[in-house]
Amino acid sequence: MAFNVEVVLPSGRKLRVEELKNRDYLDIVKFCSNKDMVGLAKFFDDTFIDQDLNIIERFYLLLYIRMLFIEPDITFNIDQRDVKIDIATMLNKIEQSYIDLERTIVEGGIEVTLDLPKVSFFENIDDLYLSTISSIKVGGEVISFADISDEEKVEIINNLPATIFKHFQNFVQTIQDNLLDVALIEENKSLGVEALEINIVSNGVMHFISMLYNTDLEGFYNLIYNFQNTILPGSNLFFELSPIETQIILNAHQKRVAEENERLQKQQQ
Amino acid sequence: MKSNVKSLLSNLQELNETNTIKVNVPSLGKKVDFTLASVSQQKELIRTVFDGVDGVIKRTNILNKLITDNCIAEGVEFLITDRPSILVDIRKNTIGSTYKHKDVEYDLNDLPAINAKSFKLKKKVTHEGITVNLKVPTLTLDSEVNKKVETEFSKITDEQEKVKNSLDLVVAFETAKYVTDVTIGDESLSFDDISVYERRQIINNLPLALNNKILDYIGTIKEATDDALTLADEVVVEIDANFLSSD
Repeated sequence: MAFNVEVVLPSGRKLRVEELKNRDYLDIVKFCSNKDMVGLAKFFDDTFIDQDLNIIERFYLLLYIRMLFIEPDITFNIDQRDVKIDIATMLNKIEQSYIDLERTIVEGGIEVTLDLPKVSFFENIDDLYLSTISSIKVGGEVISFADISDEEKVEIINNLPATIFKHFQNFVQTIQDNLLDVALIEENKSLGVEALEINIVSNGVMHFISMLYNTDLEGFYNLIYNFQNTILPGSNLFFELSPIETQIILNAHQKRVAEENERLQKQQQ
Repeated sequence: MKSNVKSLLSNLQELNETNTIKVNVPSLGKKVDFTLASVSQQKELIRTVFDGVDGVIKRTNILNKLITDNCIAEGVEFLITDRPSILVDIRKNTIGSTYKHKDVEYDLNDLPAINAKSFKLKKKVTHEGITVNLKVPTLTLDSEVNKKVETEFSKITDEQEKVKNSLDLVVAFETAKYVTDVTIGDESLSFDDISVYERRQIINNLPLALNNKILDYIGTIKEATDDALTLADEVVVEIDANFLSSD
């Protein structure tokens, strides 16, 4: 079993998430560099995200992984100064703004349970409506949307009476009214930090995640090269480490090199 | 497809068949049972908003199909003059009777019934030995001709060119929908026996004076259908891509 950690999501739900390895991080950085939000969202969905998680839980989880396995802070360069903002504060903000909006509507003998969208990225408006449906009951049959394919979801939706649609629209409006602008970063005038608010139910979430995970791809390749050739020559361990472990080992290596250089300098004197 | 999904879809279809609404059909002079519009029909209508000029024609055919598909009684030949009343009834039962125009709310229940006395179902027009019989087209014919217009439009790739040509194209095809036959001297030609393309060719070759008489007749029908969609303050209810999805 690979190393994993328990995460308590804003909804109170607990799950265990596996450590982010460098081999996955390299793929993530490539998606970010290509500005391929659809690909990035699919990668996260396949690697870390349980399809039953809603968009806020997904956002929370990805921030958590970033904090735990890459770096606990985000660094902004403002007026040639590095300003660090800790991700833990952002996670607190998300926890505070989390609202359970689940509701069941009944229209013409059809019972539909709506909840926060269970999706990471919306490719079109249909994705938004489809992802807000948790389950549907007609006659005695109940279908959980988490258990069926996208094609089956579309088939069911297409056969619903259009009278249902206004409930979907109202529900999406309710989500927008409650979660339109969640303040993730508060303004700090003395540090020159502007407030950052994010519409949780939008593709802005994945763009923000991409910004947090992105790093210089060329620098990443240099790191791989240096790691495999100088720090741990002949080893393939790099890809099995998390980015934060890599940084710790790199720091230890740099410290040792600095100490050796210092020792050599002293010997030469 | 999983068996529980199949079972749910079957329940849904059964429910859709029983959840019916009464819709007024003016040409029949009575209310007829219809099933409600489905989400797929609604989505199909919404998608036409992205299709520019072509979308307007497509939308009419989608709405015609919605009327014929959702009518439970079989073999009903709807006329285009039935369309406003049927669509408004479906709209009222789908998202309600409130209609918003420039932030003012109107009630679709206040719409007048189509004035059947303001137009004739059939008419004969003549000019210098040419006789043309006219009648209010059915939705089937309307859709058939509209499909040809769509095809003609698809041949024009430049969007600006399409807008420029749309009026001429639509008027010629629109006129052809109302003509049942043309008689010159002893020779009579039924429009049922010729193609839509040939109908358009004949219309384009009719004398202008005769064409104007045909357009006058079409005008009376257009006026009647517009009146049936006119609320207070001369606000005309637009049957657009959002007709079944927002106020």
